[in-house]
Amino acid sequence: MKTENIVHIDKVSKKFGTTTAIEQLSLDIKHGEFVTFLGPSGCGKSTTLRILGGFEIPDTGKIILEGKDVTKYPPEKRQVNMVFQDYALFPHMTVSENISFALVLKGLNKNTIIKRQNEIMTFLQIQEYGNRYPNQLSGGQRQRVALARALAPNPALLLLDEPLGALDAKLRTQVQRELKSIQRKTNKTFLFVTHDQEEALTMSDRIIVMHNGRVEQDGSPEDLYYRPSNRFVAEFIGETNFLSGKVISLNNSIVGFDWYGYKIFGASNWGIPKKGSNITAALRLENLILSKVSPKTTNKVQGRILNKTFQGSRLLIEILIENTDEILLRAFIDNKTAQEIGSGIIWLGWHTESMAILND
Amino acid sequence: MPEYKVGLENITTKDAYLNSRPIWGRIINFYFYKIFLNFITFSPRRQFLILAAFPIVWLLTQHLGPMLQMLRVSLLEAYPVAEGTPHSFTIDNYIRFFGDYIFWMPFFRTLIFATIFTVCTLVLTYPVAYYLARHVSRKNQMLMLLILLIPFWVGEIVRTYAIMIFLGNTGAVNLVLKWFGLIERPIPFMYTGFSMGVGIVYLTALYMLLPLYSALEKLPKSYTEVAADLGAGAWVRFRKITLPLTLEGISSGCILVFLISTGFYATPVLLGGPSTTVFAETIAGFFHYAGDEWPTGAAFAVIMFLTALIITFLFYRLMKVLRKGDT
Amino acid sequence: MVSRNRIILSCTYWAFVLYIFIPLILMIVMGFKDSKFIGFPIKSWTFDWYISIFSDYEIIYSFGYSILIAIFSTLISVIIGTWIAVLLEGRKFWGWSPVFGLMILPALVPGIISAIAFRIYARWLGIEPGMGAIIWAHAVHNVPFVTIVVMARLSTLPKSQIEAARDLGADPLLTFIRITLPYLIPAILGASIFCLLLSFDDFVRSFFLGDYNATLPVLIFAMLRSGMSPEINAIATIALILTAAIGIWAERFTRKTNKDNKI
Repeated sequence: MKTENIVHIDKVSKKFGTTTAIEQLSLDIKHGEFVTFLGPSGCGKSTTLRILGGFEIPDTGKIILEGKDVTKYPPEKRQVNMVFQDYALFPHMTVSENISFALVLKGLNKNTIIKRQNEIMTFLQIQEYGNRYPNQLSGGQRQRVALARALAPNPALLLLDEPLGALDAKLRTQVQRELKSIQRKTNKTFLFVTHDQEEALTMSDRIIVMHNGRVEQDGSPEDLYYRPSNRFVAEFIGETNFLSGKVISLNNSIVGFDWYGYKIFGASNWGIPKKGSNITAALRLENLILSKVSPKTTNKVQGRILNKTFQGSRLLIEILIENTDEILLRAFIDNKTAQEIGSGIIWLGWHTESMAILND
Repeated sequence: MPEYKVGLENITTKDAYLNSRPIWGRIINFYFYKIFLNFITFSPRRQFLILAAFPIVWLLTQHLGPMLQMLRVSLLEAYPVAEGTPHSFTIDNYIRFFGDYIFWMPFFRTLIFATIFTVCTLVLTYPVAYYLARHVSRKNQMLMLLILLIPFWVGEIVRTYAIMIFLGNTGAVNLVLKWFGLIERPIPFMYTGFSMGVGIVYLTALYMLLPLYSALEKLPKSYTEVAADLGAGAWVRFRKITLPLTLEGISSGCILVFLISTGFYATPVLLGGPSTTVFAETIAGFFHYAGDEWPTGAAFAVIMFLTALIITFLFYRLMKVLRKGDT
Repeated sequence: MVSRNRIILSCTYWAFVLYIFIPLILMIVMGFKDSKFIGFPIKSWTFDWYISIFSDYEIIYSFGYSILIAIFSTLISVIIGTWIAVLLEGRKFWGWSPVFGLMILPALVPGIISAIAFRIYARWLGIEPGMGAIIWAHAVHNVPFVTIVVMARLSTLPKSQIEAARDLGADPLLTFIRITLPYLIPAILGASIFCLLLSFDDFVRSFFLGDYNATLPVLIFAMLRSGMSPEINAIATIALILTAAIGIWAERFTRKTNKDNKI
């Protein structure tokens, strides 16, 4: 009996003392999705995960898991398993004892347990560590054991609470790729919590950006990156120029606004603002096209190069825009373009679609 | 990466669950275990009450009970209470204390001795703790501390006896003094306040050393280095930085040693003399007999306990004020 | 200047070591002296005193009696002390501080007062002086030491360990048995050794709550009141070596397991 939505969160709120962790959160999660909760610390992402795991009981609202209301269920009665931030491997048990912990408690017999244990250990390539204790493993191996332990009882939903935080940067990118492929192969629903935007962008099918207990934006990584719906999301993910001005023309979702005498067009993906209202638009640094001659884009302005910072594969350029009160735009360009444009006065252009009108 | 097998989904046959399950799997599915578990985890409130009930009863009856019973007996007019007669309460037992100097002399002697011994222990162990915490490498610290701990595993009586031999007329101290030609005839150390002091300091040094050591060890070395950088001399550094920041360790060490040294019975009996009778001996005296003197003994014990508590409480407050004043 | 301070301080340390050890060493040495008279000079050596105590029924008996009392009282203290620690650690409830205060009380009451309070209470409860009364008094007196040690260990148990066990299907009781308890074992063992030694060494409670059967410290005390003798040295030396050896072993054991259990 599989409904398409594996999890349905219905208007859940949670307070700790006087601080609100989650406010009126409603979400649907589909089967087989890799969903990431992204946000700064204290935004409510971990609390959401802990409510799903059963470690916190929400003050109001409901959690529906596979069509069943599990709001008041303790963790041991839920078909949900969690990979903890510190892995929480049991130090007094060997790797195979750790992995079979849940299987034993399911009441399975010894043969079945050993079979399943071997399956999962082979799948995660940790079969040779079966008799070791957690303190004899490296960080990456522990992470795999934690994953194996959580996957062993075949949960409907796997929760991952910043499980890569303890790994060093190099190992991390490798594990990110692995985790994604594990998710594809197992076809399980992964709910992943992180504060690292890059991690979220690399792995997820869907990202939910949270801030102060609310969902700021919910969408695919591309949506979030190129079409942020508000200033918080635009600032939190990637590097952004913000342009503010008064709306002067409207044409379906294309919004034209006045920016220091330039007429600028951007795309709105959340609705249409009022004519004459003040709006802000977000423009990614790498979406700016720089050239010596006037570009063929809808939006174009002239500016003077103020500063170049070498960043390896690219350059960060700061440009003082002509005819404004010392407004700066920043742009990423590659080293070749940098040589072509040289210095002095240059043109900046960008397409309508690459500029998102924000709703705040 | 190998293929993922969807585990457990094809296990539907009953025997997969029933044949030779590991012990924990059997327990958790055991009928009576389930009933028991449902009973204790019915609600968080019940779970807490079941966890708390026994400890609370134990603490009230076993930890508080003896103290309350002692207080009650101290107020009884006659003990044991004869059958059929009503319990009559009186404060005569307390008044008796003030009536005779053979009672309050040992009492004040105990307080004065305990204070002196506490100060002596502090002065003696502070440099030792300081040396261990500040001048010894991390690796050696534990070993050198452990060396000091060894004798403290040995009981009160055995160590008291060791001190008797140490200070005796033909003991080590007199031998060494004689050997250096400082004395001709042995000094009678034993059965004086001095021998009692040496013994009690010997017994309580650990309780001072450990709090001092942990306080000093927590104190970052950089503090005194900064002060030295700013031109503070050794004495000023100690007086202005080390001492104020270890007051907490000093106060807990002193409270422990004071309370413990007021309670010694065997050591004063063995090391002290007739002129150094402490209050513990006075109190014990009432309990050597069948019982009619018990109320007085209990009253005296209450007096002593309350006084010790008040003194340590005042001392604690004083240290708190000093700590605030300095930081 | 600094090095001079250092030398002075190191001298105080070694002087302190001497102060701690010389009396004990002297006591051991005197146990091998071939004379009834304790003190210098020593002219010849002997093992006679050791031989004589091993043939003394009373001494052997009191030795076993003390060990028996220590074992039983430790068992009680450890169970109750651990239980109280589990109740108190990491939990906030109305009345926490009074409960903690009550828990620590027996450790703070000066020896003599504790002994007579137990004596009075035992009589009120109808417990006759003797083995039972001593076991009970030692058990109550040692509970705070167990609780403090176990609480300290419990506070270092990561919350995620408990949550992981629950997550994987263990109920609260099973989680306690399979996760919390194994984690506490080093602390419980350390506390047990400490309790065994406290009970074995205790004089004042055994003295006031005992009957004509003497525990070892009480026996030594009684012998000392009638004068020093090399036999006492021999008994004390055996007790010393036994307790110190157990103490050192326990110290090393807890240190080692603490290190092993870190992840």
